[in-house]
Amino acid sequence: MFSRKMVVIVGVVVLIVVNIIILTVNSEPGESSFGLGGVAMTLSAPFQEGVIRTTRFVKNIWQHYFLLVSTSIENDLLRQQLNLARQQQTLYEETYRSNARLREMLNFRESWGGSMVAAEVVGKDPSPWYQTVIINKGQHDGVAKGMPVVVPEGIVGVVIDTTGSYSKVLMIIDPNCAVDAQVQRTRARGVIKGDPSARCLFKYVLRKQEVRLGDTVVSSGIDGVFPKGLRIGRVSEIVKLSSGIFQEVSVTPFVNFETIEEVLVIAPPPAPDFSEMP
Amino acid sequence: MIFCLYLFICLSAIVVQTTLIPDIRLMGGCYDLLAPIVIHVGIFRPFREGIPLILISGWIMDSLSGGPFGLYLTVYVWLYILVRYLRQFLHVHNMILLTLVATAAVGLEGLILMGIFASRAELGQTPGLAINGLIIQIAWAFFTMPFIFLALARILKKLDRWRMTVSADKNGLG
Repeated sequence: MFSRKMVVIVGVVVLIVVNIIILTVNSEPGESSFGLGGVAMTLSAPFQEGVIRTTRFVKNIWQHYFLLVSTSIENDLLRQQLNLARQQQTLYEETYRSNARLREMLNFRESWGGSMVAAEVVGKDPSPWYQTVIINKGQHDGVAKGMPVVVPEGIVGVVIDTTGSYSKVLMIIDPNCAVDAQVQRTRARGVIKGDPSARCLFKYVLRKQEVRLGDTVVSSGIDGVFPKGLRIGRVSEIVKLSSGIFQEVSVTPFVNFETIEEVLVIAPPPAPDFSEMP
Repeated sequence: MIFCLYLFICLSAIVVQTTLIPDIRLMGGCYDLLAPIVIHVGIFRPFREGIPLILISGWIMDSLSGGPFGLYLTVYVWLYILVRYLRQFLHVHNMILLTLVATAAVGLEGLILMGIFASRAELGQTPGLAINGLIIQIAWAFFTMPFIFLALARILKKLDRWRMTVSADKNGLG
């Protein structure tokens, strides 16, 4: 009844339509994996962890035993740096103490009362087009989807998928990630978005707002994911086009995403207890 | 048995891709290591082996990457269809031609992904960087694919030989 050519054409058209439907349904990353995503992660993550640990072990031996030749020079340099760091530490301690006193005086309430879970990075995204990492803490450790992930230098990203023992973290340099942020100095607000250049774009910053090169960008806390005041990066480029209401701002993150090994997952603050309320 | 082997190969490729390769500075922009497996199966293996393999590969990649679920499955399905179509016209048993076809397929995979990203406005303000990344991937594919194909051919040949011996033993021919 139908020619072979006709059947092939109809087949290809049906395949394209099914493709578009599936991709549209699953258009948000980390969503609608039909529960299958966790199985693959559970299968591969222990092997990833094994290989990563072995690599680090070998690297560690290399750095500690075979590179002793340069240790003496490095030692002198480190002593100088230590002296400098001690001076800075004294200064920081003074600042910290005065800060604590002022906080007490103003009855400043801690804005974040949640706990943190330390985790180790056991694998990176297999696709060169996305920026995610796998960490070795999951639902059993209290990690859940949507939790922010940080390191002492600043924000790393957000948990987008979890299994019992592992989680997938979408880093802020991925174009799918967005963080509501503000310039620390002037409080100019915008949204930090990832970029393939491994920098971040600080979007929707109004032209009239003052932003300077070198300004520190921190999370605003308005997105409900990242606590207020977490460091993100430093303004590295500003372009003010002749038209438009926004300026184009690039931000270089404080975190080195290439060398990241350990991270902290921030648990949400405990829910307020209303049981004792009248 | 064959599917366990495919699962093992896919997992090994993924583990290498997610743990060792990112640490090698030169190979930072390495291509997707599952692509040569999909291409090899598309050219040399029967349909009944190819379909489960692309499903397994797509599922693993979609589960571990940050993209939407189904993205890599889509790419592998189209890659597989294209390679099976091409093998009717090209003498792909020639290693040079095979390498060229496979390199072109890696380029095509990158272009499909870039097309999808562009449609979702994920290429950012610097699409030139994505193109540079794709060129590096193609270069790596050109120089390393022959070795991967040789290794795959050897592994699958050994498996076929083992299966023939087992079936011959079962039929009392051994």
